[in-house]
Amino acid sequence: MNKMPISVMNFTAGNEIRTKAYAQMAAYVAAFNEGKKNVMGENGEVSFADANETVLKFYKSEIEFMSGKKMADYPLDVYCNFADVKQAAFAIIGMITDLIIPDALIKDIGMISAIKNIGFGDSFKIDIQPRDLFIVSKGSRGKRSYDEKRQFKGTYTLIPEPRNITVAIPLYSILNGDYSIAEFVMKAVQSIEVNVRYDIYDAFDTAMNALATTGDALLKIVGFSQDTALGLQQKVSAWNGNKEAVFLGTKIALGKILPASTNFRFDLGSEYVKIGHLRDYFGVSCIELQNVADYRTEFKMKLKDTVLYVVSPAADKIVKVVFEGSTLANAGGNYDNANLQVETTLSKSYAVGVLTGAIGGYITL
Amino acid sequence: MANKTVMIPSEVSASDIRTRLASFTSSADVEQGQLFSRGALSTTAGMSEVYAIATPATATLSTLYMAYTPESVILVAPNGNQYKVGDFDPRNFTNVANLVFTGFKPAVDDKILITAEGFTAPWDAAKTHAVAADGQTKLVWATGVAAGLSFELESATAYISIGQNFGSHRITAYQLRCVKLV
Repeated sequence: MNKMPISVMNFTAGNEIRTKAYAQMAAYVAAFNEGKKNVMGENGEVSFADANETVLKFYKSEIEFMSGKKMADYPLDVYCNFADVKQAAFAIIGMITDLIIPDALIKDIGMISAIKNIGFGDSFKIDIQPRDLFIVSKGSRGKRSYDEKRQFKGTYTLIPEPRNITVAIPLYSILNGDYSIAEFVMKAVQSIEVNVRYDIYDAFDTAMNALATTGDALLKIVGFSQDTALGLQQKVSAWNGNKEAVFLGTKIALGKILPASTNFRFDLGSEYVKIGHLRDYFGVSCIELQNVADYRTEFKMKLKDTVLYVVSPAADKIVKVVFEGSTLANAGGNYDNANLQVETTLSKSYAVGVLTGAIGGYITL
Repeated sequence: MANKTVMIPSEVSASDIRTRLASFTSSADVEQGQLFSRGALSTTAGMSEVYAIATPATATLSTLYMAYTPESVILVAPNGNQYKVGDFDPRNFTNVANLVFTGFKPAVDDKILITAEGFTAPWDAAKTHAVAADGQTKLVWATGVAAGLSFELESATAYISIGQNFGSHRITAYQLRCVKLV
């Protein structure tokens, strides 16, 4: 089951205002990412401008609360240079990072991955139950017992490793107003989120691509046809304990899912034209994985348009993402570096791996 | 790291006859299904019913034991510290050196299920039997019975179900029936 990070739970525990504010903040970010014009606030719908103002107000009040210094009591440049004010600001950024990243991942790629949170120093362990049933045999009436049957759970682990990013700006560029460390930190947070996302996609695609291509174990098919695709969907559903499997793919990949007989195509209506693919194909849901930019290579896209995945979302998620502890935000002082560069380092420890008792299918188009 | 042997004593005399069971200790790790003969009774205080083990020899091939203990995985650190961390995978289980474990004495008509790690070499279709041999702690594939403990291969397509990561949950195992002791 997906949970909020332990750090956020502890941070907000017993503080109703804080709990509501952070939940609201996560909702704002989600609404913004979904391209909505307004967002549902505590007292009805509000514009993003109003939401932004509320968040900033809360952010300021949190800094004042944590540092014990009132913003109004000092000139702004003096206030911002207090070490405890900086520490408070970055502690809140760390908390927001812990809140936003899992939330964004759950919403976008929750079909293939599950987010788990562990404390610093812990390891993540999953026990996989065998899916087999016991073999039943006829036996004579005059025998008290028969062959003893046993089966075993398997155990697998993931150990998170830290991912770090340091952003730096010359102090002079901050003083003259060209750049702010905040905008760099914001991008650093986004970069970590994107890195997690890439790791999930890579782990998922690598594992699916390695599935068997022959025999009874066949789970990878080359070329789409109505019969083979539906056959694979039936197999994945059945062997995932009758948990209905769906087709997953990019818009382009899903657009290739069409009935074999062109006689049926007159009945597609405007649905296919409007959204670019069928929502249901012979009763099987077709769900889009939104393609994303692959920042590692300029203008490259991350997801393959030539692949359809078959997964049972109700079964165990194929990829596990494990976050260790909270995000560490280390903000340096203005004069810490000999060359007057101002640095901030974000460190997020996580692991991504394919750990599941479920199976999936892979169709190359 | 190589997987350890997994064995299921499907139907063995030792289930009903307690004299076919004994407690043992060894200075080296002992895998499930490993063959050994009963050594000397321990002289260590508090271990008055525990025996040492000895490698099978020509003279002991008819009186061998097989190791079989409930699988509770112990991880051993380089400094000797031992941890039970809740690892359920029987392929990670071994009877750790110097801890007391159980061995049973196979009898004719005993039936066991054992994975490939329990043999000295991979199986091939010509082999119909698995036998104990001088100096071998694992079963040796053979084309017939030998002098001493001999099993007949009943099925080479059996399996043991183990929850595995993203794939098959079946490990190939060999179903053997003991057909000869002496």
